[in-house]
Amino acid sequence: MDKNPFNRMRDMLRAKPVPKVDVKHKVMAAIRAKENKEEKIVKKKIGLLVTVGMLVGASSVWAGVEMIQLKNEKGEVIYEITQHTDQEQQQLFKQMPPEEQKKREELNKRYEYQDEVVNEIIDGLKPGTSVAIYFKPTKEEEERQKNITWSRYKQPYITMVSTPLTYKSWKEMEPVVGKMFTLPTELAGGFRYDEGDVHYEENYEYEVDLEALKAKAIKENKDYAFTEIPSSNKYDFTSVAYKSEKGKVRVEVRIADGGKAGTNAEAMEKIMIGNNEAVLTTHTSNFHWITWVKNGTKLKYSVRAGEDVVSKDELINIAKQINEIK
Amino acid sequence: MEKTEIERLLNEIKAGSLEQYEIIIDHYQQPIFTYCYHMLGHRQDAEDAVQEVLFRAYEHLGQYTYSLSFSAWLYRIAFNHCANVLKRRKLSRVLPFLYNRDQDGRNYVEESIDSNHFGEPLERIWKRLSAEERTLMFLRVLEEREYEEIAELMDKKPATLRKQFERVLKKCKRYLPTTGGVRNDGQKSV
Repeated sequence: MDKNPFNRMRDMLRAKPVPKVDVKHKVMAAIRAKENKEEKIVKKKIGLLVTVGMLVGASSVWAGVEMIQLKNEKGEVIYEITQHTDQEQQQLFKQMPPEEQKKREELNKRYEYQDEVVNEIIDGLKPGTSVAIYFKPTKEEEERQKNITWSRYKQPYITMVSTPLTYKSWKEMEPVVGKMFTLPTELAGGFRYDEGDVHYEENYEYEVDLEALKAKAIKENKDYAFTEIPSSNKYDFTSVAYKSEKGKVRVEVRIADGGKAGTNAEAMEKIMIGNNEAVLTTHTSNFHWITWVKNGTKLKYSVRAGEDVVSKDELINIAKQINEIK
Repeated sequence: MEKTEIERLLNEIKAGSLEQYEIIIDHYQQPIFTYCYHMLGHRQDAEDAVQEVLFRAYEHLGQYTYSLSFSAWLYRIAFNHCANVLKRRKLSRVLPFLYNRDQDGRNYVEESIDSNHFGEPLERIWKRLSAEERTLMFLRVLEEREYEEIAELMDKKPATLRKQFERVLKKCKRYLPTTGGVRNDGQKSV
């Protein structure tokens, strides 16, 4: 045996094979996540938002608004989310002239009333049913209608709603959506599939007999009337509730339309879910919401739950679990 | 990779060309991993370490001044990281109640390290070496680097390192097995 300790140490060290390593992707993802977090884009001019998701384009104000853009692996922007906290919206509202404030308040009341009617109708519908609802327009709505050049609805004063199809297990749901994506039967933390809905787009192409609906409303002495219409078979989104003793976690899978969204979240940050850029929003009622578009697909995933049900990190792990399923 | 090529890449990265850092990672990840693997004796810890080193290097790139080679700068970060990990492990032995234990109360961090990497007798020797001594052994014995090069990396004089290395070799010799299976200190090696 070689008595030279240098040679013996060298031989022993060399005899130990060193595994190959590739951490490039992880390091770059960590760097990008940090960079993106620090570089939230601040846009200067925004359209005024009175109610979340309801853009009123007539006025605009100057304000600093945070926006996060999600990009795919090619660097293309695939989703954009802008933050308008409730506080900001209230401030913007207060900055308006009194007559404008009054108009907005009336408009909000009108929408609230229509929501109540729609909900009442939906409650009486069987799963998988679509209806067209006619609302008798107010004078202001008739005036506004004159300025509308394009709408998803072909006919004025018509709102279309439908009820989803409900599935009690993934096994039941899989034949319907399984070609597009797979969801787990159980999420990390012991949350089991509880109930899931598959929603289809409203049947925008269908033309209802508007005059017949108007006559029905008069006959029933109501300012609205509705009629059943054929449902569309164009997939919109799937929403599944997972349940444990702690509470529920909701997972949604939508068709990514490259669109923009607004949120009244208190905070938002960009995170990574696997190789995908994702946005994590934290809301006033103490829940977290993660949204991402899965690379190589046209699917936008989201997962949300209350802080008392799962922590932020646990929710991130759940998102990763969902994302990893082929 | 040539020094000028590295400097060009670093300048581009500092100017905002993040994707160029991938080339840097490709070039350095395996050598830094190999170093961390020998320092820590544990694959997962070494993988975590190399990620941390390359991430921190990017974060502090503005502080890199070209007064020493980029490679030496990376090794210094890796050394500091590994030394901290080893310090934590040592603390976990001294203050075990502060650290993770399994159901039987064993400190699994330390055990997984010792059983996963080095077999006897290297393990026995390695456990007796400090972070600095392990670095010196790795660079001098395994990588066969010159003292001048190691001096840059460890921020010490070559002569000091030469003496230190001789002392480390003697220490190693003490724990190397003899042909009869009995160590120089009189204890059985197996």
